[in-house]
Amino acid sequence: MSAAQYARLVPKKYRSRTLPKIDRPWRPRVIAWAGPAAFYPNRFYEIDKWYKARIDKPEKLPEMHIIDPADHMKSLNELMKKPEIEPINIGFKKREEKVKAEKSEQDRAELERKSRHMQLRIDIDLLSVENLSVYRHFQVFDHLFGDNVFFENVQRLEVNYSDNVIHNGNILTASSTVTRPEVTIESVGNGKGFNTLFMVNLDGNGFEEKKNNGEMVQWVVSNIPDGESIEKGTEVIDYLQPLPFYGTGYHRVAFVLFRHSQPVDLKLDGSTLENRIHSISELYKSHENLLTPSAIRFFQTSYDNSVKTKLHSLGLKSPLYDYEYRPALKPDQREFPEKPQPFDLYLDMYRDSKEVEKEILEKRLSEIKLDNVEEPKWIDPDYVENKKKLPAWLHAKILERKGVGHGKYHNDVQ
Amino acid sequence: MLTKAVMTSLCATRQAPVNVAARGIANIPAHEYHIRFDQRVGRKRPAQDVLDRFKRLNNGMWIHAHPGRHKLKYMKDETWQKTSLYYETCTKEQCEILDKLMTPYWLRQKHYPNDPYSAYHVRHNINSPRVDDRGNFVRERKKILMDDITSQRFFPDC
Amino acid sequence: MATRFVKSLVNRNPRNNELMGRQAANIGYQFEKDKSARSYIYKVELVEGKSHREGRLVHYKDGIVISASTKEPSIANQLYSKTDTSAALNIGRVLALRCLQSGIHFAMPGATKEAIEKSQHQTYFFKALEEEGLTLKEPDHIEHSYENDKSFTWKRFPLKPTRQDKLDEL
Repeated sequence: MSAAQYARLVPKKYRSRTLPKIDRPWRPRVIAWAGPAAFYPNRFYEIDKWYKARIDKPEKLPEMHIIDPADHMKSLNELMKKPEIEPINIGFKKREEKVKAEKSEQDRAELERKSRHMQLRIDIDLLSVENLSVYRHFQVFDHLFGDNVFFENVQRLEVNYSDNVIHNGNILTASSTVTRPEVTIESVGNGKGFNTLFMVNLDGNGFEEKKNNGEMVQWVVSNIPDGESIEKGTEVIDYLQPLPFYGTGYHRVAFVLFRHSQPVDLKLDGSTLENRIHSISELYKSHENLLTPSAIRFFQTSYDNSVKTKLHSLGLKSPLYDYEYRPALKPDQREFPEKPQPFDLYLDMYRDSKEVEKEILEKRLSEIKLDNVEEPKWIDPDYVENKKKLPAWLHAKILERKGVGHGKYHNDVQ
Repeated sequence: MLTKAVMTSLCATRQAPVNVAARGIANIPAHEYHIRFDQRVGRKRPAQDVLDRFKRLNNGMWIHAHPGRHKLKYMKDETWQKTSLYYETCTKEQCEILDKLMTPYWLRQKHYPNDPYSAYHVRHNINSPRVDDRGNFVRERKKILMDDITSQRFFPDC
Repeated sequence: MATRFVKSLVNRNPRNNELMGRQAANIGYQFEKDKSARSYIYKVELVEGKSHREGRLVHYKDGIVISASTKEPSIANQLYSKTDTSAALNIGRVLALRCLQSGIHFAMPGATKEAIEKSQHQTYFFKALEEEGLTLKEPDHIEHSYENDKSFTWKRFPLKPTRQDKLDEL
C-alpha cells in the first residue's frame, strides 16, 4: 500500500507516525504462477504436502494393449507363430526312393484276406526312417552347425553298442557306452572317396577354460576309405565314453558322418579332456570345401556310476551339479497389504531362507538331541487339546509334514 | 453357623451366568467404539474390545481372526474352510485407527518367552521410509536415525 | 594345469526338462469345455483322411514331431488298402516304433475315450501303440518345492477373492 493510499483511507487523527508495513497481496501472484487450482480446498485427493502450489500431476496411463486391425481376425496360434525362414541345406541332395513294385493279383488276395482278419503286419525293417523333424525338435543341427541349417541323411550309417542300436534320440545308459561301438558305413562311391566320422557330445562342455566355446568331441576317425571298415581309417581322437556329469540330466551325443573325395588332415588334439572341446561349426567352416555332411545319428545318455569310474581313472573328481530353479514367483512385499493376507504365510514369503533354516535347526537342537533325529511316531498326540487351544496357523505349523515341516526332522545337521 | 463352603456356593448361585445376547456388530454399545477418557486416571483408556479381538505385532502390524468363520460353515466351499482359518492383516488405515484406540503401553514392543509370534515381529526387505512426515519412527528401530540407503544396506530387518 | 569344471553347466538339450520330469504340462484355458485336451507334452493322434491314415506325435510347443502315414510308399506297398482298419493298426505300430527310437516313451492319446471306443480305427490304432511299448499316459511333473530347492522355504496359499475383486473383474 502506498503512502498516498494510506493517507486517503485513514483520517489524520488516526494515522500512525510511520507508514505501517502491510503485506502485499501475494495470493494472486501465486495463482498467476501455479494456476487457479493452487488454493482450492481439495477434498477428494490427498493433498501433496511436499508442494505447496501444486501443478497438475503428470497423467499416468496404463500401457495399452494394441490390437492391429489387420491381425485381429487371426487366432492366437496364428499370432504366436514365428515367421518361418527357409532352412539351408548344407549336405547332399535327397536320395530318390525306389520305384514302387506292383503287387500281383495273388499277393493282393492274400493281403486282402489278412487285413480282413486283422492279421496284416507290415515289415517295419523295410521302412526308410529319415524324418528330420526329430533332429529339429532336439535342435541337433542348430547346436552342431549353427541356426537354420540342415542336411539330409543320404548314406546309411549303423552304429550299435552291442545290442543297442543308435537311432535318432533313443536313450542309452552310460554304462553301455563304455566300449567303442560297432560302426557300419554304406558304400556309395564305388570305392572312391573317403568318410570321416565324428562322435560329439553336444552338452558335455563343462570346463572352465573353454566355457561355452564348443562341444565335447568323443571320437574322430578320419579318412575311412569308401566301402572299407572303420579300422582302415586314422583315429584322430581316440574313443572316450560320453561323460554326462551327475545332475546335468540327458546329454545328446551325435554321430556325424562327413564325405570327402581327398584325404583330409584334421589336426585335432584330444590329449586331455579340455583339448577335446572343439567347436564343430568352426571346424566345419575351416574344412568346408572338402567335407560334406552325409549322415547323422544321435542318442541321449545320463549319469550313472560308469561315468564316475571313468573320471576317477582319468585322475579327476566327478563333479556334482544341482538343478537351479528359477525363483518362485511371489508378489512384491507391501508394508501394509491392501487385501487381508494370512499374516504368517505372508511374512514367511519374504523371510530370508537361510534364517528359516537356522530357525529349524535351532528348534531341533532345543527339542531333541542330535543322535535322536527321528520323526515322532505320532504327528500330534495332543491333537484334540491343541485344536481347541492353539490358533489355527500355529496348529497347522505343528501338523506340517511337507516342505519346511519335513526339514524339521530330516535336514542334515552339519 | 454357615460354613465357608456353603457361603461360596451361595455366592456362586447368585453370580450365575447372566444371559448375554450374542455380540454382533449391531449390539456393540456406543461407548466402546470411541476413545474413552477415564476421569479417575486422567487419561484415555484402551478399548478393551480391540485388545480382545486383535493382536499387535511389534512391527506395528495388527492382525485379527477372520470374522464369521464359524457361521454356516457347512454350506461354504473347500477354499473357504481353509482361508477362514487365517489370521489376517489389517490395512494401513485400520492399523492407524487401532493404534489411536490404544495407550502408549500397548504400542510399546513386547518380548515374551517362547513367543509363537517371535518370527513375525520384524519385517524383512521393506524399503519404504522408516520415518513419517513428522520425523517419528514408523517401524521400530531405536536410537539411530540414519539415511534410508545406509540403513537398508546394513539393517535389512526392522 | 588341472582341469577345472564350470560352476554352472547349462544343458542345452531342449528336451532335458521334459525327460527329467520338471516340465509341467499346460493346464488348458480356464473356461474351455474340455481343457484336459490341451494338457499334454506329447500327444498321439490318428488323422482319418479321405484316402489316407496318418498317425502323428504332436509336441505342445513344436507341433508335429513324428508322423507315419500311408502316403509313404514303403508303407503303402505292404498294405491292401490305405484306409482300412488294418492300415490304422499298422500306422500305430510304425508310429510307436518311431517314437521309441526318438526316446519318447510317454504320450497322451489325442482323442477322448468315447471317440476311441466309437471308432474301430482309433481303437486298433491306440491298441497297437500300447502293444509296441508306448505308454499312453504322461507321468506327473515334479513340483518346485522345499525338497528339491532349499531356498523355497515358504508355502503357496490360496486367497479367497473379496467382493471388490469380483467387482473389478466385471
